Amino acid sequence: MNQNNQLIAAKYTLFGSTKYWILTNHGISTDFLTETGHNSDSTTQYVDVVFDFNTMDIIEFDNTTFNDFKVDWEQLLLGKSIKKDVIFLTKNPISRFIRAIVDEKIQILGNGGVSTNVFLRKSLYKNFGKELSDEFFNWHNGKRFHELFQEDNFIPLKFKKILEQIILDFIVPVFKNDNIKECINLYYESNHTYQNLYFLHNMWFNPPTNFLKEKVSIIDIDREDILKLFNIKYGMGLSFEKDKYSNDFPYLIVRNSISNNTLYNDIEETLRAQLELWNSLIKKQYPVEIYNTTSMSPWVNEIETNNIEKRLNNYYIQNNE
Amino acid sequence: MNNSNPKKRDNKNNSLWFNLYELKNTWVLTHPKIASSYMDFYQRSHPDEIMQMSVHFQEEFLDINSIHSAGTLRNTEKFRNDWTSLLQGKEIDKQIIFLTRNPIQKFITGFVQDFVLPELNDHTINTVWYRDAMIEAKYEPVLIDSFIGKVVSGSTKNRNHQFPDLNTLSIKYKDIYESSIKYTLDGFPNERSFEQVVDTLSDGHMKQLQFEVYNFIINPPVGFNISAIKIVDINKEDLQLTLESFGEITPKKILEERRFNSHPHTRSPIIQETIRHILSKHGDMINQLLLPNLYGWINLLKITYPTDTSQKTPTIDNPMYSLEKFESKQYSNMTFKEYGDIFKPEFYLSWSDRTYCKSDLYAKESPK
Repeated sequence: MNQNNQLIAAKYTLFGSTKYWILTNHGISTDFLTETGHNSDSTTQYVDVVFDFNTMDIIEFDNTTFNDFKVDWEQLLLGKSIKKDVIFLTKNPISRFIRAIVDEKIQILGNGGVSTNVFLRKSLYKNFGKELSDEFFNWHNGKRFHELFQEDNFIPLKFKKILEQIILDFIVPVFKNDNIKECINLYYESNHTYQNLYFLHNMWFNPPTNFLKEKVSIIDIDREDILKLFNIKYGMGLSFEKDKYSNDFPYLIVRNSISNNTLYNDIEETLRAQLELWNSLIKKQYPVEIYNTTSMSPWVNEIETNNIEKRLNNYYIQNNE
Repeated sequence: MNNSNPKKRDNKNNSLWFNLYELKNTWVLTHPKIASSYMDFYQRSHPDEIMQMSVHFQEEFLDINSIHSAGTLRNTEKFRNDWTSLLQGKEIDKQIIFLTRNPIQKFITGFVQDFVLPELNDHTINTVWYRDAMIEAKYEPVLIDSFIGKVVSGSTKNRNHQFPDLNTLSIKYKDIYESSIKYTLDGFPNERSFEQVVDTLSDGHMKQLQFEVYNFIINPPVGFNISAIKIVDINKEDLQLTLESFGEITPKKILEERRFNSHPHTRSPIIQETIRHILSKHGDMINQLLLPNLYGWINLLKITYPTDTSQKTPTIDNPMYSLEKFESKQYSNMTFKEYGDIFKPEFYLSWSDRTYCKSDLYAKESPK
């Protein structure tokens, strides 16, 4: 993809509350915002808004809902203060990309019946023996693949290797060779990531003359707990139970697998432009954060990275052998 | 996959429930996998003229339990009134047509749609598991990767994720194409696991009422005006021509072909491989599932197409030869390769193939 050709407009998904506007994209807390009632009304969950890159004017907007946002944004461009804050959400492009691929592939494993497919079945028989494999399929029976990781459904330790093989066999090849570029192009084309990072970069470092930046913030959802932020700073009183079918488990397995090999380098190289934009933005937003300023900071949240093994182990029942 | 026995579904499957279509001069009753997609397409192309409903008869077709319509309710009572008139021996304005089909064809087509194709799509083919399996089957990695590429690019183009039609591929993929199907079908190590898979198939696809219809035809309720009832075997008769003979305006052929070409469960190479495998390896199970309905279907053919029985010297290609064996209960002791007596997989094509419909079901030459 020639990314420069795409730099005409940035498309965001707009959510709102009485105290702030939120602009984000698919895969960056959209489920959380929907679930916590950041809707324009009972029938519309969110609306799309498109900004011009250079002038930052709104060039496409469904003005029947959230119409006040357009008025507020025009005020900010004129340098006038508004009642609400405007919050842009962002996320490390690499982790967002990997999670998106994992989420999509796990859905396919679950909905397409791939996880009980005959080719997989025979592969497991060969590698783990028929008895253990059949035991696994009996445990799997009646549940979709992504339901195996729900938080109240611990995974028997004896199935650890089987699950890892299924997940890695099915997902990791996506990141290999020519697949990765095609995948990233498709993914970023449809999710506006590069355009939106570029828009944020422009907004932050080279805004229109009168733009009132004080009412605007950029939040990295991996660094800040936005539930806490909304409740403490804005007094929203929100509660949110994380989706019990969260795909953290396969995500962690994939991430653990590719973080220490050349696949990561390939992904980093392919996403270099996005990472540069994102890094410069994040360093500005979180100047005290400790991370390696000379690299592209592979996994930005270092604490989380170090806990992968521990977090994975939490899914397994240790004593049921 | 659950472990229940398919026999448990017998009661549900034997309930006298049919898809019902009201056309200008006919009522058409059918089931999934007996020209039901054609009838749905027909209805969608003539929404103002054709009503789609479902009807649930009482035992032995004595009365109607219920009629449901997805859309308007205005026509549901018309069929009830017509049926009541027939029960009273009266004439009605429309012809009533029950569609039928070889129970093995019906079963296999549903089996392909519910099981074989979901096992074979771009998500399952584009995996290391599939690649390893084909390497083990002695295919060259270059050929395997090239085939995977064709499947994936084809499904991306069509956005359907489905196993491609063999006709769209180069002849060099014929073997690996057929091996993929065989490998999938070999996935049942024994009769029990095949039975488990059968139990997961949709109820509509499993439903077989040929025996019940046959019983109704030979022994209708007392006084019933049976002359208003016609049986149409969709492989023996061209359904479109039959409907036209009753004054119906049928969809344009070109639209029909487009519609069927998009449905791989009607594609003959997949069906043929599946039939050969299932009949040769799981004949006992098929026997258990389908025998009463095969009996009913063969007898319906005998009544409906009596000229077929006029041959004095039965041959292997004459279904009545098999019927005689069947009636003398020889079938229960036969190996199931001999199902070929009543059904020849190599001659199978979708019922919608015009050449096939115009030819004899048991023709010796394959359709073009």
